Amino acid sequence: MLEIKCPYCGLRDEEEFGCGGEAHIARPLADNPISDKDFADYLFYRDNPKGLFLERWRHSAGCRRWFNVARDTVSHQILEVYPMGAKPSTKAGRAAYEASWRRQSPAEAAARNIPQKTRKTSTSKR
Amino acid sequence: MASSNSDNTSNGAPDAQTPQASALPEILPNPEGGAAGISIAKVAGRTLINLRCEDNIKAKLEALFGTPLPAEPNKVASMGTRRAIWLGPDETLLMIEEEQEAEFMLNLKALLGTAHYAATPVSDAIKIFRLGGTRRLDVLAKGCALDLHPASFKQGDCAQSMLAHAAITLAADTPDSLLLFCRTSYSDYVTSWLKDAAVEYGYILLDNA
Repeated sequence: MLEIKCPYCGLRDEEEFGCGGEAHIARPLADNPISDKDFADYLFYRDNPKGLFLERWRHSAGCRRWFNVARDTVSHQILEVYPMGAKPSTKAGRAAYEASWRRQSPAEAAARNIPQKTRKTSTSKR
Repeated sequence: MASSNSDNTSNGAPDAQTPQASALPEILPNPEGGAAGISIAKVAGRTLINLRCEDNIKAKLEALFGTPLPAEPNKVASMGTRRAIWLGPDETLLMIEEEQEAEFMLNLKALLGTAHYAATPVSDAIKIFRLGGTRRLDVLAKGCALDLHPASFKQGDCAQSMLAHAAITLAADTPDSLLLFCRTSYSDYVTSWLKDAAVEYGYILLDNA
């Protein structure tokens, strides 16, 4: 059983929380130039790393608020808890954020409305 | 006690929800003598209003409610029989006397006008119980992971959690009682569970607190 530190309620049992899966998945804007393959990558692919993983959690039985958790999938150690919309503040959390294939994905560029031409095409091996 | 047959199946009715529910009487004396370890009292005559709004609107309600609404997480503000229970950063549960509901809602509307808020009466959705007795924390500890010892769960604190898989809100209301809020649809289950968990301490069900 994990003990998770809700940003509002403090340490509570894992039983009270729901895991929302991978964090920091940006949705492309409705009007976007990306290919069906790149959109499918955004929509269907989820990371499952061995090591540090950035996840969304919700305190479903408590204050019912969403937040992000940087959790090690091997040791279950929770490195940090940070608000929705924020980026990890620890060095390792930041590195995990930057290392994600999504940072270079066309879907994320389309979410930020950055013209495709100014960015490299997807380097994802998927 | 006999008047509450509709809420608690003490008559062995076939629709009893658990074997224990029909087997357990409404009052079980403390096997060690003395007062029952826990008293479970339905709190009647209260209206519950779920209020969703940002802090700036919350601040305007002080005069209407009688005391500032809790700004800190998991705190309760009290004013006579009124309670304002923190449920979330933009969510508060207001408990007021039933007969004051209509007037309160009108005043709220007049005060806030077109401001961005939602005040929803939820009295029918949520049942309120007052738990007393010296063993109330021992009973709750069997199904709730929260540390409810007075050293960490002080008077004026509240928490939302699970009691035997049912979503509940607890408030340390007075030095010797807790308020327990649960879904109406779960209230029979919660009382049955509390009775079952309290067999070793004795319990008493009361109709009003």
